[in-house]
Amino acid sequence: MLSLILTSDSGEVTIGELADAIGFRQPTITHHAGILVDDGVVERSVRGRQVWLSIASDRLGAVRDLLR
Amino acid sequence: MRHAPTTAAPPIDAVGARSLATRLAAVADPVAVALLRRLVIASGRPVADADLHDGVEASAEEIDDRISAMVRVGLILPSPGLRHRAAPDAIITLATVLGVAADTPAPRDELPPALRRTAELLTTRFASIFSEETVRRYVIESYRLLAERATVTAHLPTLAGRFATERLGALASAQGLTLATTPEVLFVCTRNAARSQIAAASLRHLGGAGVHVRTAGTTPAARIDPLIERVLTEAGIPLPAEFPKPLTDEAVRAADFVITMGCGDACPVYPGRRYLDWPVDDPAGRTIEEVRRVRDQIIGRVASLADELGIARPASATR
Repeated sequence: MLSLILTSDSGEVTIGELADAIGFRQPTITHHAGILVDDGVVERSVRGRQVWLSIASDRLGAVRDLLR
Repeated sequence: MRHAPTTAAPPIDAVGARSLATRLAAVADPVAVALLRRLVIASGRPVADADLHDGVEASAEEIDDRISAMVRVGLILPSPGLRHRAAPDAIITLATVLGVAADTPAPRDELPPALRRTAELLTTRFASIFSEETVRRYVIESYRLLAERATVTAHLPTLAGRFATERLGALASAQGLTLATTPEVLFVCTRNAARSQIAAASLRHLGGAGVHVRTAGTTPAARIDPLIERVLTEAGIPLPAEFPKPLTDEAVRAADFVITMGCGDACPVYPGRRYLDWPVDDPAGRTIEEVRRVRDQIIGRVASLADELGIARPASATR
């Protein structure tokens, strides 16, 4: 998930896009995204009916390193 | 909050994700984090296991257990003498996460001279696969990646060389190329004037372009013994323009096979290389008959080594 968010064009993706890319159902993705949001690695913003996920700016360097 | 895309690279694939997750699982534990943090702070220099135990709140068994788990996934590497060091990869990927990355990156324009030597050695090693430019780019990039994160910079060129080797090796296998095509052999004797020169000349003669040969001596002499050229010419083996030179750390690191003749302990030992010791007498100051005997002894050993390496025999040895 982190890798997909990080490499996306705009730096943020929706739960639905992640579910399609990873091949799991939406509730599974929402659950795991919740864990990352709780830990402050990922930030979520609700726009309309969609939830967009992005990497927290203060963790961006660490996540980028980790996936290098 | 939005971020500009940082890289054009595709997202990690399932295999990559799995292997990364396995690596991270080995660190996901307070004791493991404490241990790895110390090793990353040491910037790839070996730390004695006894020092690692100091100040980490855990039993000795627990500590050993975490160390072996991290060794298994390649985050830390064993060093001779009950020591361990952080793998270059661990420093790159985990320094920021462990909170030990330097705040101010190292100056970007200054490249140490040792790095050029590292690039040269790797260029020879990967000659059959990558161009000089590719190798140099990888070495410099590896160095910069490490320099931005390391707190101690003394060993960075060596570490960068190791890291670049790993990355080039991985790149080669990703492209379906194998490195096994050109084995790197290092002959070491005491003076680098007789035994190692005979061995190198005969292996080059046998292997041609199929093998990279290097020589070194622990206390190099001023020049190659004149008798050596004579006995080699007798055997129909050309003696290339060689000169006695000291044993360097990089030469050992670049080698797949390290063959020592009478200098055993002086040669540094690194994991992943094969070490052979040939008990051959030093022909210094001997009569020509004795030098011939040493020559034949070495040629015999070189021939079996060439067999073992699967190197082509004289027919294709055009060099």
